[in-house]
Amino acid sequence: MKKMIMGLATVALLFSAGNAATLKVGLASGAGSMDPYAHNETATNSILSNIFDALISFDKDLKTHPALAVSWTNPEPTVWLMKLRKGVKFHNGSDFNADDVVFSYDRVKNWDKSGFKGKVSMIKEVSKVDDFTVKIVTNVPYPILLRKLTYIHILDKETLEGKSEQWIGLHAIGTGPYKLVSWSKGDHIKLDANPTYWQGKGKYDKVLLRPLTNNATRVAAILSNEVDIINRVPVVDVNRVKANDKLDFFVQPGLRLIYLQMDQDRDKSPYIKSHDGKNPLKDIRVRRALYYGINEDAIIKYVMKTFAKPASQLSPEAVFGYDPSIKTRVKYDPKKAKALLAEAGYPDGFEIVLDAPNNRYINDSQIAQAIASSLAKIGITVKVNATPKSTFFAETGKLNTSFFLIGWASSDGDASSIFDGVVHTFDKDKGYGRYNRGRFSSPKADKLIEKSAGIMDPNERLKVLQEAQRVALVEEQCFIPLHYQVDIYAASKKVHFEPRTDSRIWAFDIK
Amino acid sequence: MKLFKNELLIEYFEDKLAVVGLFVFTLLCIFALAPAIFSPQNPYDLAQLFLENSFQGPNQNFLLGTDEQGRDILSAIMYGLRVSLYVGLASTILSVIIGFSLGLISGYYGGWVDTIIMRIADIQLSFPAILIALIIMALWGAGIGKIIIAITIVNWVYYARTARGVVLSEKEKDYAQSAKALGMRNFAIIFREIMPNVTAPIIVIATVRIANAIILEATLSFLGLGVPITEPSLGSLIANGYQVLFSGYWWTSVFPGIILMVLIISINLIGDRTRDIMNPRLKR
Amino acid sequence: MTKYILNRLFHSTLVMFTISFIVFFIMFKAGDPVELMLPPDATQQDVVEMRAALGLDKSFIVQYQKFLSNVAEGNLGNSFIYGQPALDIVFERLPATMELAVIAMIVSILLGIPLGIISSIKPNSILSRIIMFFSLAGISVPVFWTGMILVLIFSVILGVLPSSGRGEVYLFTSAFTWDGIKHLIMPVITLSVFQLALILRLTRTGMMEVLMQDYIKLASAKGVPRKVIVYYHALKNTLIPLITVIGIQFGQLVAFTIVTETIFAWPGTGKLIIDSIQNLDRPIVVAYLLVISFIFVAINFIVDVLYTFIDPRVRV
Repeated sequence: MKKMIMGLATVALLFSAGNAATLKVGLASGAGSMDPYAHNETATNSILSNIFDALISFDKDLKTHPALAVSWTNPEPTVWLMKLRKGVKFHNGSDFNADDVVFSYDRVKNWDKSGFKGKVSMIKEVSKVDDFTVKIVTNVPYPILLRKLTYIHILDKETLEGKSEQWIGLHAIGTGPYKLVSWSKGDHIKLDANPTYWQGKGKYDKVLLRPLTNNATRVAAILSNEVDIINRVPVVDVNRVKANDKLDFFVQPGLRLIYLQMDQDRDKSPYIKSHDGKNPLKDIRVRRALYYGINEDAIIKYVMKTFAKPASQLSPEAVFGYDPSIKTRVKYDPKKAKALLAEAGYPDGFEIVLDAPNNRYINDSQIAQAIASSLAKIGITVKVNATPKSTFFAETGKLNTSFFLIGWASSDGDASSIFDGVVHTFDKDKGYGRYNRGRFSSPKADKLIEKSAGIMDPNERLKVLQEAQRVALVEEQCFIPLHYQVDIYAASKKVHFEPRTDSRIWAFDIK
Repeated sequence: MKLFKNELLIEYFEDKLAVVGLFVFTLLCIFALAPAIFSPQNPYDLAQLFLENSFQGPNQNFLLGTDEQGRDILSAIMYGLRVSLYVGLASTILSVIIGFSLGLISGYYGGWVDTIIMRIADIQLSFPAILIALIIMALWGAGIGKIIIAITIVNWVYYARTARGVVLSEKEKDYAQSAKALGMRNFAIIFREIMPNVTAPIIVIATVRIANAIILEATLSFLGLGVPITEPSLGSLIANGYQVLFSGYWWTSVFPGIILMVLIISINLIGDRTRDIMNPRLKR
Repeated sequence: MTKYILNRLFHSTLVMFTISFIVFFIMFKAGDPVELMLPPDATQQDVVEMRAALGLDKSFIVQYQKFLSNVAEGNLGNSFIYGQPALDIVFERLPATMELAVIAMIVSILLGIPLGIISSIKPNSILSRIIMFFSLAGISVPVFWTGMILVLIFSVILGVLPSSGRGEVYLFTSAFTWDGIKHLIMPVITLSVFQLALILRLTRTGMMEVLMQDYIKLASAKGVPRKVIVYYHALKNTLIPLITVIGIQFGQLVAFTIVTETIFAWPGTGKLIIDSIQNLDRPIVVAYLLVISFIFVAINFIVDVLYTFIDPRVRV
């Protein structure tokens, strides 16, 4: 029996041998679909960016570069002419041309299950001028168009026309540096280098992407050399990774802000018990008291093990709209917090439920507990209700909450995303404020946000964005910023890896 | 009730392991009943927690160490023990009441009442208990009250079946028949004449199934669908600690686990002995 | 016999129908993942459109009818998250789960029955008492706790066994490669401890009861050798009811792979179902539970039929 096993093992080894130049990557999260328009979330986007190209690409510092578009002009404020790259082929041999671009944008905008409608909502029309020129018309002058275009991977019209959703969801055929060989959901994705990639062939002949969703598993895999790179090293395991001299360790400031939203709309909030029956969060002094009363330094030190950056505003430095004049958070000051509470008429605090997801952000439910313990010391009794993300987002969406912990990543690299989606007064028709679930509302900030959308001059636009933030955050304390997450990677010293600001792992970058 | 007859008690104490089980169980119950007296800290009172104490190994201030919030594990275990026992006992009592009544009714009346109740029981038994509980918890979300109900829904079947079986055999016996002949009402016959005879087997099953209920609760909490970590049971403490087991903070999961194991073994020792005493077939 | 089979078939269909209805209803009540599936910059309008695209804007009755008519065509609907047929996704993961369950069952039977016999022959010997104590511990220790302790000892402290994942797969299983076996050891032990202890205890109780029966005593009095009595007459009569239990327990094993797979990150259906429950991916949850209950029902059926062959007294 033993002999037979050994024999079989040898045979199995023979089969797996011969791919010396394979890059193995352990990922915290797998792909939801091979259809690049199905899921707009970092993990899927990151995986598919190896297979597909967009017209424009981000470099590792979120600067825009030509990709399938080689150059562009902006003859009128709402019209963009894009020259396309010639001689590019899809993985199945089809030629890339303007028809593919028109087809792709049409599908993004009109497919009922598209997750990317928000990226193209300002685009009125995409049309073909000639085989290698397309014209993009926007509804209003749209300064951040190029950033949005980086999200739209280009599909092949000839291949996809007439195919079912299911087929597209399994077969990824792009123009990118790697082509899809096989996808075993939840287990692995195998990629082969595209020898005719327009930027040249990638260094690794093969890439194996393995979703290792369990934190401990992912760490074990890099420590035992099963994979060459992992993302999202759990903060509690950083020391174990650092102690291994075969590994490099990377910390990259991320784009995701973790912050608290507060019900500022209802006079009686469903999960607050106060002595006067009112909703204390409507009082700015109470909101400020919460800001002063949370010991964020301790959270970063003990819960995040120092792997987070304190947030003093809505966007980190890498995002357009950052305001260098609001550099630091207010200092933790429980005395001042108590004084503010007393001034607002709540010297003995009140009771409140803090909702938080327990499987969405790094240490999300632990952060919520630490906040509760911090606020307990200024007399506010906080009960933490940590639920899986599906429940959390559904319930907060129904405004079935008074106080919650949530995150936001301005992944376009532009602060307009958080302003439009979270700060602006909720307006279903205009599409503003879907994530403004505390229903913060400031007409003054709204005006500035709407104004910023049409300013083409970057300097002037930056000023308006900064002003909007000052009004919303400093004057009105719309939210309580906590910290920005950082991306932590570990990589074998055998590979040359550089982390990217957009949190993607792009195999072509890795040498 | 014959369970409390002296000779049975004496017989119970003849088995040393069973005595140890009873002793340990009693001890754990004492800790669980009044954790405030014994525990150094109230882990529910967030004002007593300090992040500065997070992840300390066992030391003189924190005998069994602390978790990431600076919560004393020893205190958390005592309070967690209470939650675990409470869930186990409450769900068992509830399922006994419901299962027992439905079983009595089903067995005594027969007919379509019996058919419906037993069909439901059959369907439920043809399906793993943990899956039923899992689905229910998925709908409701974590919570102590919710998990008690979920476990009750899973467990009533066992009591219903037993009660029904005994009733079926008892109701043909002389005393029940004569009670009926004497004109006693159905209800009275069930509760005055038949019930006492069903009690003994139910007690035996209940002792064994308390352990089962506690394990089920712990398992669901471990999967993140049981009791939330803010009101931790032993299971959720273990689950929380498991996240950091590999990172070297073993005390956060190992100690609650040991206590859980000791608790279940002690209950099973008691249950085993009770069954042996009350099952005359195995007696020599 | 035909009538019996038809009756069973009807009953099984009823069971599966009921399960589908209840699970569908519960998951309907639990909500949908649309909020989660769309990116933060989607508008409320996009949410409405997505919900309509998935048919989630319809009433419960309409959605369930749609589901039933799909089932009639052998389709359990498409996963909300993956967009692929839910049944395909479940079947893709099923081999890994079954591998774990089957191996654990074999281990439990191969160890449980002999140990049960040993402890029943001389129930008061030291060896029997040791066996019985460990079996008590076996049914007392929660599955996840066994798994955790194994991981702590063999992976974290000693570092001799991999803590998670499935090893190299050859043909259809990972049990044929050394790497695969190393990955299998701890999950299999974790999963089989409870079953082993249970089978052991049932074997013991059964043997002891049978050994006390009159016909055994009679055989003994007639001078039939003790070994023949124990290993032939008594064992045969103990094993027959045990088969039913093993059948039912196999279903429990499959269910408990959920816990084992969570601990060891085993890429089977258990992990899929936990994720799908948390993501409110109803089609996968329904498909998984129907597949599991089908396995359950099928096993019970096979066991019952087997019974009639082994024990001629039972006639169906």
